[in-house]
Amino acid sequence: MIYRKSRRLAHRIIEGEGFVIDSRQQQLHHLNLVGAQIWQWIDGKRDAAALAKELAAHYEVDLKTADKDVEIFLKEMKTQGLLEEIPP
Amino acid sequence: MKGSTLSIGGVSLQTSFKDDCAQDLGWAQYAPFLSERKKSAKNFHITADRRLHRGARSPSGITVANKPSETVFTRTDFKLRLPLSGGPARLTVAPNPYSFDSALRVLYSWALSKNQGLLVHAAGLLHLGRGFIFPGKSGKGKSTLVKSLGKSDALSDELVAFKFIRSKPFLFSTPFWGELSRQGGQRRAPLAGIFFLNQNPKTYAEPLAPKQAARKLLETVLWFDPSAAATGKVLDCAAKLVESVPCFILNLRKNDSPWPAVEAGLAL
Repeated sequence: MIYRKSRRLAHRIIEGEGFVIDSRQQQLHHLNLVGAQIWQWIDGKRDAAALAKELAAHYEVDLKTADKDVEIFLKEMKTQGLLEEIPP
Repeated sequence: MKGSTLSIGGVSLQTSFKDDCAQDLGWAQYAPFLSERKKSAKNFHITADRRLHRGARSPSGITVANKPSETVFTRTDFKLRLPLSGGPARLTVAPNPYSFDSALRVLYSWALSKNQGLLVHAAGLLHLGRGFIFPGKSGKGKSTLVKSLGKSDALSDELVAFKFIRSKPFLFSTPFWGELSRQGGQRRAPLAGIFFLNQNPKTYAEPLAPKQAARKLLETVLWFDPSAAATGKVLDCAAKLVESVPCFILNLRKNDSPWPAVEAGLAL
């Protein structure tokens, strides 16, 4: 599955950490360094496997760990309504 | 019709009132923020409408409509139409000073965010020619701080404006006061520091990293336009601000002067 950022979001990276504001809910979401990094890779083209591959390479962790981290992150972002699935 | 230029936070509006409604709206209290016509001032037409919200019930929350040519803020007691390019801003408001003041706060929060500025819930103070803001939500001690230091050096006890001018952040007084009565007119100073208020048994300043300061600052910024574009501008401005000036948590014991801790913090 490929994801894109919701269009109603404003988002910026400050000192490596992510600040995402959902304009509908006027709620600030804060992403840590790793979350902000994954967030920047979400471009509507990469799927979860590609994101995990980027993460594994960037942080020198094994692919299994990266897969799990990306899965948790994407699930959380979807639950918060910050990501939309792009139909295949 | 009569009019004058209202300047808050370096943003000027050439105001005109329909049917002499200025008195009903408490216009006289903004006199310290009025000046002669400025070339850069946008036109701002104001109409009082007695059919809008009356009675003791609080006005409803603000709704925002982003249209291709304008942004419209609506509350039961006012309608504010702000063109995205050219043309005058227009306000239709219930004929009372409270509704008018609320509409001005919305207008200036919007206008400042379009001009590299923000309206922030904070006490603003001048000290030795420098400007300091002490942001905090209600109950954090903004008015108490201003009261303890005297109002003569205060820019507001409730809402202050800041704006980047030639990439340098400046702090401005506003007519938007909270618990205390309004004091002074247009004043500005280079912004030297942001000190988030925290009531504490001991007085000292703790440095904050920009990312921590950005989170805290965003909690105190006044803005009403929820569109991604407008919110993005607020985020950009807040991020630039916290990277431009030193930021601290100011732990402050009641009745202590903040200045020794402020100076000690700046010296770190």
